[in-house]
Formats: sequence, structure tokens, C-alpha cells
Amino acid sequence: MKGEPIVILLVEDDPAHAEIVRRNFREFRMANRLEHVEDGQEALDYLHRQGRYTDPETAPRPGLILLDLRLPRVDGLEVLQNIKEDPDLQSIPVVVLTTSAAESDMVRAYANHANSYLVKPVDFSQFLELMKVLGYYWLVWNANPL
Amino acid sequence: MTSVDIREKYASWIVFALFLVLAGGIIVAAKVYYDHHALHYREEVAFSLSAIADLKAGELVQWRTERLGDGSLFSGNANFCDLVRRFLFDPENEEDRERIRIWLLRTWSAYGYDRVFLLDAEGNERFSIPASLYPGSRIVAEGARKALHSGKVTFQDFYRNEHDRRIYLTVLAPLPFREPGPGGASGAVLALRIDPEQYLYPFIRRWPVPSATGETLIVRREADSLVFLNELRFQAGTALTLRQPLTKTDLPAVKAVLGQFGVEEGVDYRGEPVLAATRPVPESPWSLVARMDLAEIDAPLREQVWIVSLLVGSLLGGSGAGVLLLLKHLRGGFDRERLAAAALLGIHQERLEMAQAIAHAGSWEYLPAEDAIWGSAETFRIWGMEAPPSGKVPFDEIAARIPDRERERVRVSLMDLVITGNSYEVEFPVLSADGGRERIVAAQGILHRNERGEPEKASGVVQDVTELRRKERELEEKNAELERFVYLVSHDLKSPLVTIKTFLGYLEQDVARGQTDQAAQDMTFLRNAADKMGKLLDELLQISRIGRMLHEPETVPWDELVREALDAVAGAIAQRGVAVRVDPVLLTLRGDRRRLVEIWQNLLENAVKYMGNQPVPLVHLGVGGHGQDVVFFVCDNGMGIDPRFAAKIFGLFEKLDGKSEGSGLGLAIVKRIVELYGGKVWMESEGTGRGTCFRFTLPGALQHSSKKGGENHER
Repeated sequence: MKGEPIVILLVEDDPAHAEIVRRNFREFRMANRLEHVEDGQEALDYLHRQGRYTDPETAPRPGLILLDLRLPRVDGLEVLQNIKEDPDLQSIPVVVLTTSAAESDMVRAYANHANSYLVKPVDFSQFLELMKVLGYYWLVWNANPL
Repeated sequence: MTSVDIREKYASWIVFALFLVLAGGIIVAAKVYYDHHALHYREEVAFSLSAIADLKAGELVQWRTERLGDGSLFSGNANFCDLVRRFLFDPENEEDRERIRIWLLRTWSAYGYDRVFLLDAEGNERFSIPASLYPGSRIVAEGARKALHSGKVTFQDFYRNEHDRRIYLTVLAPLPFREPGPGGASGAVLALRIDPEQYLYPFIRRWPVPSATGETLIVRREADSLVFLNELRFQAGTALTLRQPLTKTDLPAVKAVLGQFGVEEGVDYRGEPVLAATRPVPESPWSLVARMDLAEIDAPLREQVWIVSLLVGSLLGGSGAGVLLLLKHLRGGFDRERLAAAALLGIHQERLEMAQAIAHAGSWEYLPAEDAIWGSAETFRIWGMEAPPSGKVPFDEIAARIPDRERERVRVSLMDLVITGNSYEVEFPVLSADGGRERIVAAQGILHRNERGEPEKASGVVQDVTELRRKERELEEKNAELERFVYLVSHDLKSPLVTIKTFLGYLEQDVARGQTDQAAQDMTFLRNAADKMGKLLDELLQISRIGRMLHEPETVPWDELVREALDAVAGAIAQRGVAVRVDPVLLTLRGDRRRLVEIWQNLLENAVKYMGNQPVPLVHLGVGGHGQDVVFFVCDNGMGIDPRFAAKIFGLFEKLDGKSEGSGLGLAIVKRIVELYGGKVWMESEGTGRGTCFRFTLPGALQHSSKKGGENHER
């Protein structure tokens, strides 16, 4: 834990779901900075500082990536694969956060070295609890060389 | 070998065995008959020989008795004896002399004696009829003295006269005197000389029936020798000359003089094998032999052998012919059976071929020795080849039909089957003879071994699985799509649900905390999520209908379909100010009118939606290609699509822009309809900002149009 704020990159095409995540992190005051991109292509642009993210200031390196799977243009799994194959990016923990509980998705996510796979709960309090635990685990307890 | 062949072979053997038994029987019967006949015949010959011997012996005895009787006539005549006594006293007495001459002359002429003469007691010849050139033999003189001494009429047996060298017999009749004769003589002897050539030899030689070798002969014993007494049939000058030692007992004559009489085989004086009957001639030193050469005796037997052989031959020939006839008859029966079997086979063959044609499965055999394949009619149909008359083609000819990339694999599998007996189950493409479309063929086979366990041939079935594989692939695609569909539905429906539940929670908090601003915002999220779900469900319903619900096919000109589609999206077109260009095309399609319209409608909607910032938006509709290769297109000059995403866009609920309206179902619907008509849809774009072209084919809709005479429109 360093003094610097940890940047979280949220890859989520559903604005409502993005809002939920944003509210939770705000509530638990864990993320000083939450960057939100809406599809896979944008996520890649952000991470590789392409397109509108050429400025390092607008696209700081994230300490955690929350990744939805079903995304327009470039699929979440493709993004995951891209990250894990990139020597500069592969050390960033990627937590898959999706509504899909399909086994095939989990298998493919882990095959692409996802650090964690979380299914969005339909229940409100469970969702809140999950976000709380997720925040503490990855942002407080999880040791990170960065 | 068929069962008919085996039975025929079996029957042939039985018939052949029957023939052998028959032939054996005939030969044995002939042999028994002949042996019996030969025995009987020999017995008969022996019997006639005996009869001849008996007859001759009897006659000889009779002849001798008569000759002795002749002698006795003089011996017992006292007057004649007295006359002789007087004559001896006075030979010059004419009266007595004349009387004696008459007696003797009468005897000589009446009885056929060679010479009749008187001997005095000294053995001197005193009177002879006829008067002889040669004097009488000393043997006779000696015999005469003995006869006079014994007083009995005796035979002087065969002897040779030392003066004329001839053979004679002589009957010596003593003529006793009642009163002493001259010199005190007690009597004289009358000699009746017989020349055997006159009567005896011809008599002995005479054979009662015609015969080439039949002969009777008489012999007598002289010390240790056998002497032949008469002239023999096959050898001259034998009488009293030819002798045989008594040790040669294989001569029946020798046995006879040793006292063994009967009928037996032996050899004669020439050394020839003979059958002989021997008899004693009573009251004489003679033995009589009636003999005949075995060669002559057996001649009729040899003839009989010929006749029997001929009979046996003809019987064998006859039975052989009968057997052949039987065989032919049997063969005829078997041939008829074979014909019937062949006819039945033909029917089965026809049925089999029909069954194969219906099942699209052919049968084949691989013959390693010839490296050739035999195939049924259906097999060749599947291979797309003309079936050769023999039904056989070299394997290489088949292999040539398999595309290069697969040929080796098929060959290796087949060799594996032939060499190791490993199961053969391969699937491979086959090109038809005209180089047309590839067909997928599945072949299976097993190995047959001969009785020594060596691989002999492989046989199996071949099946055209082109349709099957195509349908399988289709089904797989459908399944995959369905899976994707279920997955997407569960995900996409769950997503707004999560939103709803969560924001309901927030709303509760808002209410509890009295945060009305926040509540209004949360409720917007709720409303959007619910709307999204509703729309999603509508679209699901819509897409599920495409495959299931088809309206009656109609024949519609292409431009009419396009016009309907343009009408449906007229609002959006006008709003965005899009210019539409429709090529003039004369083409008629046949299918579900509403579905066909939907294709162009969705593509137009898509084009307008993704026009981007294009200042001069333009959409171009038209048709390219010819015949079955007709390709429809809908092109725009809008924002274009990154080629990287080209494959994704036709998926269910896929959108390239998360913020755009719609669920991303439009292109998926287009794809489904195109596929319903057996077509393909694809996208071409040179990249972002460079416009997009959607192209698709509809062979199913064109096929119907061509039947309706729409070909003119296609060109």
C-alpha cells in the first residue's frame, strides 16, 4: 500500500452496471480513480495508449481491471487474452465481472489467465457485499509489486 | 464350390463306383463261366478220347481173336494136318500138293494175309503162297518151333524181316501129326503172315472224327524201353525203330507200358503237350494210346475265350454307355438345378441392386492379387463412374478419383486392412468423372482369409454420405447457434435483471434517506433496464419466428421487393437525407415475400443507422453475377466496419456500438433468412469511414424463379 491512488479500469458496456460499480467504490472510498471504458476496443486503446488515450495522463496504468465479457466490437475474452499476452500488462490483476455463469465462459476466462471470475449477483445486498469484499481483497489485502 | 457342384461330384463318384462294381461282376461271371466251360469241355474231350481208345482196343482184341481163330481152323483140322504130313513125306505128290495149294490160296485170298506158308518142325519153309522172293525170317522159324512145342496158336508179334526189311506180324498155327512125320517130326506149322500196312496200321491210324492231331498208336515194352509199333502220324519210320526210355514218365505211353492206364496230360514223342487216353489191349503185349494235341483241344476254348471276351467287352461297353447316359442325365438334372439357382441368383441380385440403389450404398471387393476393385452397380454410381462389364476396375482408376490430398490415406488404410486385417473405415471425397462436385464417400470393409489363414480379399460397403455430412454440418451449426442463443438470452436477460434488482435496492435506500434527486435518477436506470428487457423479448420472438413461420411462396420481381423495403425504412432515410440508388434489374424471385423484403429492409436500416458523419450519405442496391451465381448487394458510404469485426456482426445481439439503438438483431435476422434460401451473406468494407457492402446469395429463391421462366430476367 503506497500513498498513490490505485487506478481501476472498469470495462463495462452497460451504463447501469457501471453506475453500480462506481457507486460502490465511492461508498467504500477505496478507489481514488475509476476509469470506465464501454467496449473491448476502447479498453485496448486505453491500455495500449492508442486512439484517444495517447496521453498518459488520461490513461494512467491501472492497478486492477474489472472486465465484463460480453462487449461490443472486441469481446471481453479477447481483451483478456491481449492483456495476458502483453509482457507489460500481464501482471495487472484482471477480475472478470459478468452476468454469465456459463461454465464455458469460466473455463475460457481462466484459460486466458483471468485472476478471478465473479458473477454479478441478482440480489441487491449480495451485489453490495461482493463489491465490498472485492474492493478490500484486491485493493487492500492483495500485495502488489507496483 | 456350390452345394450343387459338390452333389454332382458325389453323384459322379457313386455312378463311377457302380460302373466298377458292374464291370467287376461281369468279368468275374465271365471267368467263372469260362473255367466251368473249359473243365466241362476237357472232360468231354477226355471222355471221347477214352471212348476212342476203348473202341480201338476192343477192335484190336477182336482182330487178334479172329486171326488166332484163322490159325485154329488149321490146327484143329486133322485132315489138313494129315495132308501136310503126307506132303512133307512126299512133296512131289501132285495131288497132295495141289490140295495144300488150294487150302493156302483160299486162306491167303479170303483173309487178306500177306503170305501164307508152311514150316516143317525144323522151321524150314516148305510151301508158300504166294511164292516169295525173300525167305521167311529166322524169328518166324524160332517162333514156329515154340508154337509147335506148345501146341497153341500164337502170334509172332511185330518183327522186322531181316531179308526184306519190312515189318510183319505172323499167326503161327501148329499142325500136330497123329503119326510121326518125316524124321520123326510131331508136326508142322502154318504161318499166316500179316503185313500191318495192309489193314492194321490204317485201322490204328484211323480217327473216327476229323481232327488235325488226333492219333492212336500202339506200343509195347522191350526190356527198359518203350517201342512204338506203328507208323506215326507226325513221324515216318517209327515202327519198331522209335524207342523211349521207361524213365520218361511224362509220356503217357511210358506210363501205359508200366501198367498205369487212364486219361492224362503229358507230352508226346515230339515233345508236344497232349491229352492222352491209354488202354491195355488184353491178351497182347500191346498198349494203346489215343492222344490229341492240347493245342487242338484248346482251340475251341481259345475261340470261346474270344467269344467270352467279346461278350464281356460288349457288356462292359454297354454298361459304360449306360453309366455315361446316367451321368449325362444326372448332369442335366444338376444343370437344371444350377440354372434355377442362377435364375434365383439373378432375382436376388436384382433385389440387392435395388436395395443398394435405394440405400445409396454399394458393395465392393478388393482383390489384392489383381490390385483391382469389383463394385456393384450402385458402387460405380457413387464413384461417378461408368460400370465396366466385368464390374472390375484397377484400383488406380478409383484412386485417381480421390483428390491428391486424401489418396495416400485411403490407400494406406486399405493396405492396412489387407495386410493386418485391421478394420477399414474411411471417409473421403471423390471427384466425379466429369470433374464435377466432390462427393463424400464412406467405405467400410473387412478382410477374408482363405483356409490357410492367408489374406485373400477384402470386401465391404461404400456409401454416399455427402447429403448426410451436409445435413450433419447444418445440424451442428444449428445446434451451435441454438447454444449461443440460449447463452445470449440468459446473459442478456440477466443483465437488465441485475440492474433492476440493484437499483431497486438503491431506491429503497433513497426513500429511506429521503434523497428524491437520487431516487429520480435511480428510477431512470430502472425504466431503461425494463425497456431493454421488453425489447429483447420482442426481438427474440421475432427471430424465433423466422425459421418456423413461412408464408406461401410467391413470385415477386426483384425491384418490387426492394421498393417495399425502401417504403418500410422511408422515414429513417428521409430523416438522415440518404440518397438511394437502385440498379435496373429484371429478376424474379420466389419465396416468402415478407421474409425476402425483410432482408433488404434490415440491411437498409443498418446502412442508415451506421451512416456516421457522411455529408453525402448514399445507399446502392443491385445485383451482380449470372445464373445460379447471382449475388445481391446493398452498399453504403457510411462509417464502415473494421474488417477485424466482420465475423462478429452477424451474431445474435451483436452491436459494434454499445450506445446505438437496437439490440443488434438485424443482421442476425438477415443471415437466418438468407440461409433459409440456401444462401450466404458476407460483408465487405475497406475499413472505418470507407463505407460498407453487404453481399448475399439466394439460390433457393432463384431455383424457383428459373422454373417459372425467370431466366430472361436473370440476364
